[in-house]
Amino acid sequence: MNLETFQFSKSAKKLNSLLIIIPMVLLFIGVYGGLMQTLFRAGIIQSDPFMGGDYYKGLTIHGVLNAIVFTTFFAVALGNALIPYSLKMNLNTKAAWASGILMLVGSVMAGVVMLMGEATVLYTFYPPLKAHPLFYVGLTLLVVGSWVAFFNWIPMYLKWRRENPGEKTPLTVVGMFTTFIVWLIATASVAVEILFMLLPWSLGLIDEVNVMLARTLFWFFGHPLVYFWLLPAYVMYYSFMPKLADGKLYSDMAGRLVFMMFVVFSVPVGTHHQYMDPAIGSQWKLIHGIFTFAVALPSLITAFTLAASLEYAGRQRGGKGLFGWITKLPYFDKEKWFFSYLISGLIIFIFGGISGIVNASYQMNTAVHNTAWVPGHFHLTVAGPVLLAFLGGSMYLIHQFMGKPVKMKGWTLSVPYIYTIGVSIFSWGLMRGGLLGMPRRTNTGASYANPESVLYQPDWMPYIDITVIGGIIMFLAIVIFVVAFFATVFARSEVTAEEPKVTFPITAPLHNEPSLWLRNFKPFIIIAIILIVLSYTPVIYDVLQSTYDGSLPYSPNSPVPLR
Amino acid sequence: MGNTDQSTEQEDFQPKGAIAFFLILIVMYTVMWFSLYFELLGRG
Repeated sequence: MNLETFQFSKSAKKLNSLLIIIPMVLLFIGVYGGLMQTLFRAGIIQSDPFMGGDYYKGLTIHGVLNAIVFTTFFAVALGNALIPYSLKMNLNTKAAWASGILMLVGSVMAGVVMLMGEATVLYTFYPPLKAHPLFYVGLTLLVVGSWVAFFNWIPMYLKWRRENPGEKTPLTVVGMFTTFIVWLIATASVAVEILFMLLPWSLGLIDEVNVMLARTLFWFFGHPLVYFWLLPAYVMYYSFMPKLADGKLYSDMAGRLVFMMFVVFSVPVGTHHQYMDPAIGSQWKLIHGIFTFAVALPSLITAFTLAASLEYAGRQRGGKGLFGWITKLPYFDKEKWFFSYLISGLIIFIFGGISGIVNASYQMNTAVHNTAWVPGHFHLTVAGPVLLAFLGGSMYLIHQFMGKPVKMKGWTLSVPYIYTIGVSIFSWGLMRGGLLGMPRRTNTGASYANPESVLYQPDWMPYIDITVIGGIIMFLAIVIFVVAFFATVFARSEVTAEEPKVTFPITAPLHNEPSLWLRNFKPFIIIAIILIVLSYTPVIYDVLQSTYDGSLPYSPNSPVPLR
Repeated sequence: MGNTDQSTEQEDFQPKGAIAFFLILIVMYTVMWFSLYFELLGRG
């Protein structure tokens, strides 16, 4: 492959390496917590043998470290890598380091109080569950750090536009900016929730908190968070995957359209997580449900565009017939190990997508709401395509920024396939159990999976056992990855006469449409804001008009308020 | 010469396999969605 290169400063390389290595350690702690969840739920363990503490502490650590900390670090690292690379401009390393330090301090702060058992509030941190104030401060610093990273890229982009009038912004930059525009809009609401509600409540400055308002503000953030996870994966799908398969991107315009659709539709959808909540009119929930279907469209466009790009690649590699190209893709080529992470994630996402559409279908949601179906679904999205793309991306970034050869390539290549088998078994068990009524979040091991309990549900047991098998396979895949990752980190550097340059497998388009109407973010951001105002004003109004008392703080282990 | 090759390449390629894949995907999604829908109806 003939690839363009760019020379990053040593400081930028060091920062980006740390932004990958530190969250990898945290990810592993979170993944360990995930394995413990399956054992807790099956009744195999009653307390964590290594970290100590109960089921809910582990569940919180698993969710926060894996779904919020790891993903945010990776998205920032990918932006710090792709934006300078694509624009051929150096990063302002002082601002980038400030962002990294804020994120690190915040994550450590939140991590420590979670490990101490002082923030057992799950990753949604819904009140009335109350965490230690440092948990909320830590999350705030993590988010502010990611904002600083984004604000650091904006002057680079504006300078590039001034210097390159009339040129199309590289698709990688469009994708990363889309990711952080969605993130910036979404995190504004959770900043309000934390700074004006949860933090003062946790500090004891106010006695009660409006639970419904907090939940609504959380889901204003919580569903776009899904796209904050998915979009960096989409950047890698569109920009890297066809090139890794020796192909081209079927349509550059399709990629740009998809990203702009995410800007427009990512946010006015959050109330579909609150279909069963009181206080919000069903007509407003329905509108959010319709927008959720709209936001499925860019994913369907992506499915076709990537299939066409891979078909082109497969035919270039000798594929014949309607589906012969599928067999010609480099699934087991050790030198293209990154491809296996992206393609496995896409296969998993086929099932993550349809299960998400079921969740968003208003009436059908009643069949799956708060059941194990839901974690079954989101392990096919955030813990499927997102995790695998981010793992592959982490390995690629560390290989580039540290100038180290990828070690254990055969094992590295095998990880996504082993993981795909594991997550398929795991999610099927959860979803099937969920359809029988098996709840999410609840420690079934202490009740429904305990033969001595009056709540014992023997018909759920096969599915609970299946999740244990799937969870163990997923865990083994991650162990293999982490070993290969740190073998790469500690490998000897590749000897070169000069400082090694960084390169990415950027795909050329097959159809490079002018796409003049897709070249400016501004109109799409304006449409997004209009939709947000129209969809959320009545929801917030309903919540504020409802008559119910505020709530005192609780922990998950006691029905008695904490004060 | 390069441009001619590229335009020929673009004109020649028809993503028939991707279209078939996409149609199968939509049919599969429809079947899966309705299977859950009938599950819901079955609960009365």
